[in-house]
Amino acid sequence: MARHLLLGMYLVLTIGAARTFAHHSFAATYLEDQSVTIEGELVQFMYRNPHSFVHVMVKQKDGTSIRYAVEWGGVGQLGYQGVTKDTLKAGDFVIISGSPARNPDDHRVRMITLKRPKDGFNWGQREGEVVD
Amino acid sequence: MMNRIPFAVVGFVVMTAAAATAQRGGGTPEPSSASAAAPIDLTGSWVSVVTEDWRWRMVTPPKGDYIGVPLTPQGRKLADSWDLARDNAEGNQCRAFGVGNIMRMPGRVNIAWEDPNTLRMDFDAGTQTRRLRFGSSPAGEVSWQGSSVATWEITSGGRGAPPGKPRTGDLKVTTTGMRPGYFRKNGVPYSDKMVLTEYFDRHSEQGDEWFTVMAIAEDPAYLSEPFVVTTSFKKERDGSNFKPTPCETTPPPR
Amino acid sequence: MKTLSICALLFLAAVPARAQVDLAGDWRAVQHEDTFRRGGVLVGEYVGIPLTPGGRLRAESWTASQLTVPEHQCIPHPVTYAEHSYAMGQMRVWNVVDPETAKIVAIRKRGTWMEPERTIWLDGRPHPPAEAPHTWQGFSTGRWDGHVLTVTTTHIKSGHLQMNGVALSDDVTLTEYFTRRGNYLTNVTILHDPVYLTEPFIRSSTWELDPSLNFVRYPCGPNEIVVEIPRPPNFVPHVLPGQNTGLDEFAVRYGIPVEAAGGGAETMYPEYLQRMKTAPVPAAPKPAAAAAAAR
Repeated sequence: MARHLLLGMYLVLTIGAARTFAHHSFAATYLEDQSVTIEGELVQFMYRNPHSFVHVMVKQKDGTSIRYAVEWGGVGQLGYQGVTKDTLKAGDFVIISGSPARNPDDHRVRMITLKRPKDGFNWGQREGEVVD
Repeated sequence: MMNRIPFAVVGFVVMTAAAATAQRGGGTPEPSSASAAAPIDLTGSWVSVVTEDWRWRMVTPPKGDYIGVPLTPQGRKLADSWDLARDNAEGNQCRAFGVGNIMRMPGRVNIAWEDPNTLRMDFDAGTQTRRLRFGSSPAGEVSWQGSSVATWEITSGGRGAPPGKPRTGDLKVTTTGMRPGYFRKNGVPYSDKMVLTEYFDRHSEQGDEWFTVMAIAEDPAYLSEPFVVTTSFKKERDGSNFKPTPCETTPPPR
Repeated sequence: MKTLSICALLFLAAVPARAQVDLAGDWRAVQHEDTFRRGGVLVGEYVGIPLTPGGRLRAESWTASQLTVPEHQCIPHPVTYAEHSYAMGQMRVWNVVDPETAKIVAIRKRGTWMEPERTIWLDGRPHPPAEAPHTWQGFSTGRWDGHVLTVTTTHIKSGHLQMNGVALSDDVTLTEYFTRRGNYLTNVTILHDPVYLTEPFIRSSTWELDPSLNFVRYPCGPNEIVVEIPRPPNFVPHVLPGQNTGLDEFAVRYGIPVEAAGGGAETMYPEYLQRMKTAPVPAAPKPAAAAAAAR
C-alpha cells in the first residue's frame, strides 16, 4: 500500500515538474485578469482529451437558465490528481470559479476552483491543480 | 633543465600523434593556425533576427519580469531591486551589454580575424568587442566581455580524414572573468563567477546564410541550473548598416 | 616557450568532436526562452513574425471559439508549431532500423499533447510529388552534415504558427537543424511560406535528455469528439474582419506601439528600435475590476 502511495506521489510530482501548456493559448481564449463564480446543477461531465468539460445549468436573475461550459484538465492530468470519470455526476450541485472566455456568447469558463458542498469535494486548492 | 622537461613531453606527444596520423595513411595535413583550421566561416557582417523573446529583447521589460530564467532566491532578490538610475549614476550603463546578454541584444555584429588565432566580434549595440582566442586567453583585467577561449570542434574532414573530405564542425567558446552584468535589460543578474559556454553553428539555406549560437550560462551565485538560450543571426552583404551606439537602457514603458 | 605555445595551439585549435550522434531518448523542453509565447500569447500579439497583410488579416479574424467545433477538437499541433511548443513539453525520439541491413533508415519523434508523431527518413528517398496528400507532420527527409541532422519537410497541412490565429498555408516548407551536445538537443527551424510570410522565419529551441521522464499519453480520437460549447446547429464561430475586439490588449498591457504588435518583417530587425521611439503607444491600462459576480 505504502509503495503504491509513494508511486502515486512520484507521478503527481513528475507531472507537476514537467508542466505543459495547453494546446491552445489560454491568454487568447480567456480574460485571465477577471474571475467569475457560477453555481448550479451539473448536467454533464465529459472526461476526455484534449480537455475535460463540466456543463452546469446556472439560474439567472430572471428565472431562466444558461448552460455554462467549464474547461478542465485532460485525462492524464486529472487522472494523476485522483479525478476519474465517476468523480462528478449529473445532478451534483457545484460552485465553480474561473476565468471567463473572451467570447461572452460561449458562456465558457476556465476552471480555477470547484467545490461540491454535499461532500466537500474540491479541486484547485492543492499545488498542481491548475488547468494546463 | 626543468624548463626543457615540459617541452620534451609536448614534443613526444606531438611526434606520437604525427606517427599515428602517418599510420592512417597521411590524411589531411594539419592547419597551422585557427583561421586556417576553421571548419565554418563566421566572418562577415551579421544582423540579429529577433523572432523569440521579443518583448524581453526589443523592449525593456518591467522590473521583476524574469520569467524563464532559473534564478536562485538571491538572484531574484537582486532582480527585484534593479535600479536603472543607480546603474547610470555609477557608470554601469553597460551592465546589460556584457557577455551574458550581448548576443541577445538587437543589433549587428562584424566578425573578422584580428590575427590568425583571434576571432574578433564587434557589436554596434553598446559598441562592444569580444575577442575569441584560440589556444589560451591571457589573464587580463576583468571586463564586460570577459576572457574567451575558443576551440574548433571538427566533426568530419579533420585530422586523419581522407583528402578532399569537406570539413564540418562548430565553434565552442568558454568565457570567464567577466564583470557582473545582466541577462536582460531589466537587471536579471549574473555574477563574475559565471561560466558561459557557447556553441556557434552555421547554416546555409535557400540562399541565406545564418549562424545560431547556443549559450549555456552557469552561475553558482544566481542560477539554480544552467540557463540555456539560442540566438540566430543572418548575414548581410556588407557592414554598411553597422551603426555603433553607446550603452543605453531605456526605462520600461510600463 | 614560443614552441610550447604553438604546440598547444595545434591541439587546442581543432579538437575532433563527433559526427553523427544518437538523438534517441526521452527529452524535456528547456523552457528558458519564449516561455510565455509558446502557449500564452494574446490575441493581436504578432511581434517578430514577418506576416503578409493577408496573414495579419487572417490572424485578426480568428477566435479561440473555433477550436471547440467538432472538426477542430482533435487536430494535433502541426510540425510547424509542435517543434517549438511547450505544449509538446515532452518528446520521445527513437531510431527505425532496417532488420536486413541493420542501418538506421529513419528517426521517429513523438510529442505529448495530441501526440504528434513524425518520421524523418534517412534512407535517401525522394519527397512525394506536389499533389500528394498533406499531413499535419508533413513528409520529412534528413541527412547528416557532420554533427548536424538537416531535415527538410514538405506536404504540411495548413496549420498554425502561433496559438492566437497566426496561420500558415499548405505551401509552407520547413528546414530544421538538429544538434546534440551532451544532454542538450537544439532544433533550429527555418520556415518559408509564400502565402503568409514575407521572408524566412527562424526559431530555435532546446531540449534536455531526461531518462526519468514519465512520458504522458495524450490521445485524442473520434471517441473524444463531444459538444464542448452548445451552439445552434451548423453555426461556425467567426469574427468578421475589423470586428475583433481585444487586438490592442498586448500593446496596451506592455506599452508597445500597436503597429509593433501587428508584426511584420521590420519588427524582427534592430532598426525597429528607432521606429518604436516615435511610434504612438496606447495609454496604460486601467486597474483591473474586482472579481465579478455570476453573469
